[in-house]
Amino acid sequence: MCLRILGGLFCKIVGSSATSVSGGAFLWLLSSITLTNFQTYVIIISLPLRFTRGFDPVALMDHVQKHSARLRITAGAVEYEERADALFSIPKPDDVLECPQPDGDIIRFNKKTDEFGVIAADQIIRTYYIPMPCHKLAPANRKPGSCHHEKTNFEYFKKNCRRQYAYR
Amino acid sequence: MHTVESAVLSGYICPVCGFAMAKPATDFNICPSCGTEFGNDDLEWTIGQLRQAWLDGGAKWWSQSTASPDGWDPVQQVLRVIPISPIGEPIAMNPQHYFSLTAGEWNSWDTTGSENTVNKCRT
Repeated sequence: MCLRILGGLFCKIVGSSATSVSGGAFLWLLSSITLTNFQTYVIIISLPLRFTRGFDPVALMDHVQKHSARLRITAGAVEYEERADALFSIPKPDDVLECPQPDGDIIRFNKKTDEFGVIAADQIIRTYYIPMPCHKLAPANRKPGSCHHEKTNFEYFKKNCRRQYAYR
Repeated sequence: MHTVESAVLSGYICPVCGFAMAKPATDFNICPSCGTEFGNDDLEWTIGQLRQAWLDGGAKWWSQSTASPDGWDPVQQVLRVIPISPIGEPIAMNPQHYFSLTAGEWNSWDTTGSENTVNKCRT
């Protein structure tokens, strides 16, 4: 589990499961501190996110758990947040489509990679994932919450752009 | 401080599983109890479908980063949001499932149309 504090990451590692901090080239391992109960805490400094304020730290780990497999994230929360940040690059890359929402949210979709994300007006990332059309899954795997009903992810993006958060 | 009571008062009850969330069930917040991402999952699936999937999966605690509350009872929790019959009994969307969850304490009910029933809060 990692928390971003003052531009760095504070990660708790239990035993040898260090996958969440196995990190990319943008990380520097500064020091590790072994505390009681065999828990090792590692302090990592990463480059600050370039385009956004990242995720709400409380929400981050649940988003990582829910979406990282389909994104083929290997370095846990650090990589997940960095890649989400990159989707909201400024200036907007040519392959990325976006639609602003009435409440100030911005939805972005990368038509080459199928990455989908939503950022709030305060530059906090709300979500980031790769959607999955149900028809691409075996019938047994088409479970509620696992896929969407549009033909393509581009159609899914357009549907999200049209909804205007009517549930609020 | 976030408590079950404050969540009930502020309306932050997960409509899928009944968990008292720290944040509203909107804005891509994820319920740590059932894993529903609001604004994503509930755009594509009905609340009833999501709830049934959670129950069919054994009503397990979803989040790996947030621990379940002490003495967490998914059956009591989901009672906050499942439809209630006119005589006060829960209407199961899958009667057999509720029957097994509650060790036969409840009767089975006809499920026709129950997914679209307006939920009533028992608490």
